[in-house]
Amino acid sequence: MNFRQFAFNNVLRKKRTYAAHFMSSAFAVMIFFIYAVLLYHPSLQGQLAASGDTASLLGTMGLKISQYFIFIFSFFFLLYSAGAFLKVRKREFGILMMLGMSDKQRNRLVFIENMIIGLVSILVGIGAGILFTKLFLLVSERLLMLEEGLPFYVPIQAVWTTAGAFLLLFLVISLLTSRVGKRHQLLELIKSDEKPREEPKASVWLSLLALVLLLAGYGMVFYFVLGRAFSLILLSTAIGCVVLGTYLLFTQLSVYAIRALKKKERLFFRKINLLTLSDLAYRMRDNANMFFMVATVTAVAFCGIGSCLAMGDPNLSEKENPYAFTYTSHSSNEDERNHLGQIEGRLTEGGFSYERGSAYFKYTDDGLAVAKLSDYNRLAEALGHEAETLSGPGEAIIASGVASRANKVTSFDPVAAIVPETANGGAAEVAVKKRTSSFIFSQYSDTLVVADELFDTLAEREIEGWEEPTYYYYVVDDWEKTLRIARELNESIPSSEDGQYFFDALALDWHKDKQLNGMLLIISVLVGVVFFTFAASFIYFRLYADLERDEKQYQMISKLGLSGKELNKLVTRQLTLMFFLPLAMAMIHSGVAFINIKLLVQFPMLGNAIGIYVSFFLIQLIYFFMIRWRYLRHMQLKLS
Amino acid sequence: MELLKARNLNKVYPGKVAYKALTNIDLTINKGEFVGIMGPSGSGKTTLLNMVSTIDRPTSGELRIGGEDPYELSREKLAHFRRRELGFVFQSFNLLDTLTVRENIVLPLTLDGTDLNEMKRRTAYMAEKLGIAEILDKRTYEISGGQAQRTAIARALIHQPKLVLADEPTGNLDSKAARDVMELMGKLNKEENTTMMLVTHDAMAASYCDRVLFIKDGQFYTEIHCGDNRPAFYQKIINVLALLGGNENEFSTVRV
Repeated sequence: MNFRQFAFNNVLRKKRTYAAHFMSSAFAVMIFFIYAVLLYHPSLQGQLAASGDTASLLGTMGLKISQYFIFIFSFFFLLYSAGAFLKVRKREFGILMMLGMSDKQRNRLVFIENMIIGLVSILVGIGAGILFTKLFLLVSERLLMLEEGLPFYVPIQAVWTTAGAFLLLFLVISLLTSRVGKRHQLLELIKSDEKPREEPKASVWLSLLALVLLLAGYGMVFYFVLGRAFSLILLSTAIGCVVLGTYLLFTQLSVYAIRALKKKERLFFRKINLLTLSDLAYRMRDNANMFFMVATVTAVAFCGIGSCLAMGDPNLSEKENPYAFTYTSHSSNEDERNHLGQIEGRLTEGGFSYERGSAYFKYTDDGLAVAKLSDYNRLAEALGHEAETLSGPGEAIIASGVASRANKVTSFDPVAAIVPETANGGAAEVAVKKRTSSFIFSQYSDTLVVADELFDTLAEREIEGWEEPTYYYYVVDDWEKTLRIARELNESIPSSEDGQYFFDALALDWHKDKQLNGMLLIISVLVGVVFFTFAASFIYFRLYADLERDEKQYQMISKLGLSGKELNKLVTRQLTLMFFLPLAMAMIHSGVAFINIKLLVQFPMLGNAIGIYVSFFLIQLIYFFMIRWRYLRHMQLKLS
Repeated sequence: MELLKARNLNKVYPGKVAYKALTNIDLTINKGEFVGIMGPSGSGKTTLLNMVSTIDRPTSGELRIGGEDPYELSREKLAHFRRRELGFVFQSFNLLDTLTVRENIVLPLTLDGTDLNEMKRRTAYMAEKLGIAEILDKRTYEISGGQAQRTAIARALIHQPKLVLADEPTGNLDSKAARDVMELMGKLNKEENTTMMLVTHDAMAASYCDRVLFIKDGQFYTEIHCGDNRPAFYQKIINVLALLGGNENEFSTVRV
C-alpha cells in the first residue's frame, strides 16, 4: 500500500459518509451540464430567435446566469461540505499524526481525497447528463414549443465546458480545504471523541434579539412595499435583519425554548420526553448552523422559483384574448385596405373560416371608454356570446375590461354620467343596465357600451398628435394552427415606422409566451433541484456525523429498557425536526416575500407559492421517510 | 546505553485554578528495557506518557530520546521523528476503520514511503510473530479486541522504532486476551530487543516489565525491579499499590 492507495481506500471504503457529498456534487455537475447542452445546442438559438428577442435573450441570458449561479453556489457548498468532513475526522487525523504523518502529507491526503471525489462526480454527473440528454431535449422541445424539435447531438462542447469548469472548481476546493484548520494540538485531536460535552447555553437577550430582528426585518419589508419607500438600503437592511434573526433563532432561541420546556417537570419527566428534550438541546446547538443554512438556502430557492414562475404567469392569463389577429389602424393609415386584404387572403388560402369585427372608442371626460352597441354585438356573435339589446339612448351596459375580469368584479354603478363635449351640447346621463364579463374588447379598463345613435353624437377626444385608432378583430376557430400564417403576415406587414398601424397575432404571442414560460420553468426547476439536493445533503451529512455517538447512546438506553417502538418514536421526533424545521422557516420567510411581491406588482403569487410549497414538502417527505427507514434499520441492527 | 532521559519534567495545566499534573519527574530508560509506569487514577501517568510520546509539551524540564530533544524539532521533522523512532499502542486500539488489518499495520511504512517488497516482507514477519496472519485481509470491525490490539502492536513495531509507548494496552481486553498481549509484548521486548514503556493500572500487565515506576499526585513515589521471579514481582507490585492507597482488588477502570 503506497500513499496514493491509502488515500483511495480512505474514500472508497467510506462510501456512505461521502454519499451525500458525492451525490450533490454529481448533481451540480449534471445540472450544469444540462444547461450547457441546451446553451450549445446548434438549433436552439436559431429557433428561439425566430420567435422574438425576449425569448432568445432569456434563452441565453437566463441559462447562462443560472449556470453561473449554480457554479458559484456549488463552490461554496462543496467548500463547506469538504471542510465539515475534515472536522468529523479529527480523531483519524490525530492517529495519523501520531504515527508520523507530516503536514505536507496531510495536505496531500486531503487533496487527493477531494480530487477523487471531484473527478468521479464529474464523470458520473456528465455520464448521467448524457444519458438524460435525449429525454431532457424532448422535454425542453415540448416546453419551448420548438416545431423543428431539438435533435439529439453529441454535446462535446458541453462536456468540455462542464469538465473544465468543475475540474477547476474541485482543484481550488481541494487546495483550499487542505489549508483549513490544520494547526491543532495533537492531544486535542485524539481526545476529541472523549471530551464530555458542555450543556448548551443560550442567552435570553440574544433569544429576544432573534425575535426582534425577525419582526423588524419583516416590518421593514412591509414598509418598503406599503409605504412605497423604495430604497435599496432599507431592503438590504431588512434582508440582513432576517438573516441574522434566523441565525439567532436557531442558535439561541431554540435552545432557550427547549430549556424552558425542560423546566416544566410534568412535561419533562413524562416517558420519552426526557430523552427527546435533553437530546434535542444538544442536537439543536450542534445543528444550528446547518438549520440556518438550509433555511436560508431554501428560502432563497423558493423566492427565486416563485418569482420566475410569476414572471411567466400573467402573460398567459392575458391570453384569454380570443382574437386570432388584431389589426390596429389610425385614420391616416394608407395601407389599411391592403393589409386587411392580405390577412383575409392568407386566411382563405389556408382554408380557415373567419369572422371580422371592429371597434372604435370614444372617451368621456373622466376617461371611461365608450363603444357602439353594434360593434359590441358583432364581436359578441362572432365569438359565440349572446348579443345585447338596449331600449334606447338612455340605456347602456358595462363591458368588463381586463382588470375587472381578473378581479371578478360584478358590481356596477347604475348611473353613468357621460360628460363629453357632445355635438348637441350638454351632458348625457345613461342608466347602466348590466355588466357583461365576456372578453369582447381588449381594453384594460371597463368600457361603456351605448346605443349607436348616442355614440354618433359624442365628440372625439382631442389630444395633440393623436387620433383614435380603429381595431379590427379576426375570430378564427382553429387559431392555434395559424402560427405559420401569422409568421408570414408578420413578415409581409412590417411594423410601421410612424405608428400608423399595428399587427398582432395571437398565435405568435401565445407561442412566445409558452416559450418564455417553458424557459422560466426549466430554469427554475433545475435551480430548485440543485438547491434541494444541497439542502438535503446538509441534513444527511449532519446526521451521519452524529451517527456513531447516537449509536452508543441508543445502545446504552436500550439496555436500560427502551423498546423498539419507543426508539422509533424518539428517532422520528428528532428527524422530523431536522427535516422540517428549516423547511418551515423557509416557508415563512418566502411567504412574507411572496405577500410583498403580490402587493408590489399584483402578480398572482398564491397558486405558485402553494405549488412550490407542496412539491418541496412532498419531496422532503419522501426523503424523510427514506432516511428514517435507513437510519432506523441501521440502529435496530446495531441494537439487536 | 540510555535511550530516554527525562529530567525535571513539569506540567501545569493552566486554567482558572492552575493544575499541577507533574512535578520534577526524572526518568531514564535504557535500550532494550521494558519499563512500567503505575499509579492511582489522576496521578499523572498518562500525562507523563504524553510528554514522552511528543503529543503534549512539558511546561519545563528536559527530554531526550536517543540523544535528541523532540520538542526542538520543526513540525515536519517531528513528524519524521514519530514515524521512524516511536511506536504507539493505545487502550482503544486507534486503528483506522477504513483500512484492513494489513493496511493498518503497514501505515507507518506507507507514510515513510518504504519500498513495497520490504513492506510485504516485514508484514509477513510481524503477522507471523503476533499470530494474526489469517486475519490480515479483514476489516477492523470484523476482528476481536485481542486481535485488534495485536494488530496495533504490529503497527507499533513494524518500522523497528527505538521506543514503543503503550498506554493501558490491556484496558479494553478480557483477562485471557490481556495476558496474551502482555506475553507477546514481553516476547518482542526480548527477541527484538525493543525498548518499551508501558502505562497501566493492571498489576498483571505491569508484572511483565523489567522495572516498574510508581507515581502519586504527579510526583515520583517508588521504583521496584523484577528480578527472576515474575509471581513474586506481581506480589510486590500489589503491595506497593496497597500502600499507594489503591485497592489490590481494583479493577482496571476505563479512564477518561
